[in-house]
Amino acid sequence: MNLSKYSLITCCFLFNTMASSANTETAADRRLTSVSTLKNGIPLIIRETPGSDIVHIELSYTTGTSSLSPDRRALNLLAFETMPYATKKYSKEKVFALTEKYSFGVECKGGVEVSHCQVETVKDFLPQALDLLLSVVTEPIFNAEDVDLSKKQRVADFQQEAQNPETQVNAVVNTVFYDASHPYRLLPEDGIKQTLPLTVEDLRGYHRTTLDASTMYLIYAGPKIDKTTITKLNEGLGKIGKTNRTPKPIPPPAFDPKNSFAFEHRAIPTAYIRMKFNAPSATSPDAAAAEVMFQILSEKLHEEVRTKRSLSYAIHAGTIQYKEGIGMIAASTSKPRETIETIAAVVRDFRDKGVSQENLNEYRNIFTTGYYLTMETHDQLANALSSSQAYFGDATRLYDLPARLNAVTPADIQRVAKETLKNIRVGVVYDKDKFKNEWVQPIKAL
Amino acid sequence: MKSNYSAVARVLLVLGLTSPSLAVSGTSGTTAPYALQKAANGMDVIAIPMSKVPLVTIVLVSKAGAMTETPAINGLTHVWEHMFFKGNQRLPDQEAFNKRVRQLGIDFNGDTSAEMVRYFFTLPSKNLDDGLQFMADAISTPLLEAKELERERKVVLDEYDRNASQPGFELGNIERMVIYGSQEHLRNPLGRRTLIEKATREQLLQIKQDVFVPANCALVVAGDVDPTALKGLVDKHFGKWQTPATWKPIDRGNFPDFPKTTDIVRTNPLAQNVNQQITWKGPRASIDRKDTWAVDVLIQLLEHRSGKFFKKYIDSGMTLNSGFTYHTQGRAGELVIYSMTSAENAAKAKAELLNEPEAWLKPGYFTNSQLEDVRRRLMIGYKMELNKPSAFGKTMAFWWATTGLDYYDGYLPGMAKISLKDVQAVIKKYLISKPYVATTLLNPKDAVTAKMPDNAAALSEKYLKNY
Repeated sequence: MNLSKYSLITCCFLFNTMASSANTETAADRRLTSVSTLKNGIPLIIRETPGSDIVHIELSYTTGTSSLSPDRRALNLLAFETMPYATKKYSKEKVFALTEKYSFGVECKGGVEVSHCQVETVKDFLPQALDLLLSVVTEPIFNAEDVDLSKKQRVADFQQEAQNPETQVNAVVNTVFYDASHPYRLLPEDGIKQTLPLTVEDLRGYHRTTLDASTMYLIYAGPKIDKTTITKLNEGLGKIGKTNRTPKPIPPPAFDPKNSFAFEHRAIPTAYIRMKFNAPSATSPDAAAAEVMFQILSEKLHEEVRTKRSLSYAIHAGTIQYKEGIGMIAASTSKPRETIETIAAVVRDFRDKGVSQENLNEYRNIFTTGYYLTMETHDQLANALSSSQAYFGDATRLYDLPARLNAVTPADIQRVAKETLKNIRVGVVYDKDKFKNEWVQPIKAL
Repeated sequence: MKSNYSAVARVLLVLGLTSPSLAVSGTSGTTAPYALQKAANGMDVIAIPMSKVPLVTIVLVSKAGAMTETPAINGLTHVWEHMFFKGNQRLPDQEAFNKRVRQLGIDFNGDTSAEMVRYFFTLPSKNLDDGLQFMADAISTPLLEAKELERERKVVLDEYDRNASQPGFELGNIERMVIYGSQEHLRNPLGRRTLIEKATREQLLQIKQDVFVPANCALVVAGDVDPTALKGLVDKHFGKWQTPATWKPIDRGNFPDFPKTTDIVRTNPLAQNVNQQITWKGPRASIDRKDTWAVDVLIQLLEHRSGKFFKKYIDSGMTLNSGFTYHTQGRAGELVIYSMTSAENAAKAKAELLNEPEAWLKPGYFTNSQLEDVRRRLMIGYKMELNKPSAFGKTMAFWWATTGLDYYDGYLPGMAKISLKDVQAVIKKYLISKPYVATTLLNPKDAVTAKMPDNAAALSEKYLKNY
């Protein structure tokens, strides 16, 4: 059976913020986690998952589209997506035969700041999966015909993003949230223009730059790791050299009050609205408070915009915590004026009044559930550990999250709300005959 | 009380891999024995103990949806699903409901499809007792107040409009109407906007009586749960919710015959790539059980990356994406070849894909080695599914509602017995020389390049004029 084609009509539009938790016993998680290094210093984070023979191995690179110049960012996406096609050891036919025989797939994905190559399999097939993963990472060959095919598929992905108003509104607001050179900016239209001229040599050259042990770390989530696996990892990755590359600092997106609103006309029956603003980064002392603040803001918006006023099916707030933080509020509505006014009123009220201790205590329970949902599967667990490793050099910091979230006070939340919920940029995709630009004034006035 | 443990534990043995070197050892995490019990009020209760994290997922599922609607109430089961969250005798409004959600740490949602409605809560397992009460109150004593309906109606309409904002919305509606004719509403859970605008409290109360009764529902609890203790808790909280003595399951009759071959091309300036589908009548899980298994094996064979289909359509670049799909349903079945292409390749890909079923019958198109790979993939995929209890509970609810758990119990053993001959038999039975409905969605510029002009104006006028 295949469920992907058939959408289920859901009650509620859900947006999951980063993993959150409250009063959670994390000692067991720590006991199951160990950290060592390969012989060239690549950190190896091992998280045992008793009772399961599923293995997830992820090699992360602290490099991404933001590491590249504005006109080359799509290179990161295309290079990582093309790496698993074929390697020196495994021709494409061999890759196909191996992955079908053992039912696993090596997937590589370029990210904004962190990129990954990963494989998930069962313990019995780990030797085969690991051998392919290591070959993909170290010796992809980028055949011309494979690069051509991958380019076509990448362009199609960008086009699908542009087709869907839900994703296109993100591109629209990004035109005013980021200036043209900001490291986080990659609009679908720019991505298409950048992808089309890329060559085999571009990809091979970029791949060589990724082979830098100083940017890499490994996450293993599975049953107790054996010596053979560690030996193989050392053989495969332990010879990769190190540079002393200093990551470029990321500037906070600059706010220009004269250029804080963007609109794209589409003759569609509901408006897609997205607002973005600067927020605490992953490494900010306010990161935990910001997570809690956005969770509560999201609930408050849902209550006022959807539950009480019935203005929107999908209204939510959230944050993405990279080296720079991004705050976001999104809604769809056929009453954009009233919705924008209500969002502005909720934000102002939240900044002014904050949240009570009693209310905060209630939210802690939601965080507990969110934290354990993060622990449920091998890939979710590995991704969460990877994020902690990328930004703090310490994957096990993930397990401090409950304590850090518990330490957040109502005063922290109100302070972060006041510092964050301002200078909001707005993007709208809707029918131009049904929208007036001055309707965003309440947001500009915040 | 009846209590069964699933045959799934035996399934993995039946799947027996022919090559010992490829056998997957160990059983931990490979079986999901569920305990099926009957609550005092007649509702099925399915416990799936999987204690990897201290969470439980509670799913209330009903055999309801578009298939239990009439044309006059199409889409109102979905409206009812929304009203579930709007207050009940214990929690008088959604504000109170949301407060309780926070107190219990509930991650929740609901969904409506053609053949089922599900509500699902994931929460800390220490709150299971309270979570069951919360679910029982919501399903058995919803207030369905007129003023709340007025508020929620607008929310549902925005959800409808979000769907209508997608370039393929109109074409999807036309396709469904062409295939199902006067019974198209039975496959349309989103329903009609005009009916949602006019929905009344009385209509929702009738839906509650018709489908949201214990005899038509099951409760699935997956995760950190003790099956032996569960029944007592369920009886405590759901005991007052009773099925009326006169209740009967709804049967809206059969679908009309599949239409003659129809080819629909629709242009939309927002479409970016060319998306095409060819749809045939497929097996129904309630009747053609073995055929559904063979179809699922066929899907996997076509996805095999060493196979001829993958090489011809994906690896060659003729399409940007293509494949064959089937959505297991009890009452209806559609077999679909889909593709996404550039305008330049659209016509060629369509012509070739129409001929594919004939090619699938040729010797050597599929091999026994590929079949063995497919069986292994199914088993490992099943393991991965079990690795996420919060999702697996919802999956079990799907099987209970659409096919029955006996279908689920037989699924993997059934698949393991499917041969290439069986696969060929379903290709002949459902695809060869059978009528189909083909749809193409593309933008006007691409339509010129592809030489595929829009021909849907008449169908749009016929079906959507008063939609």
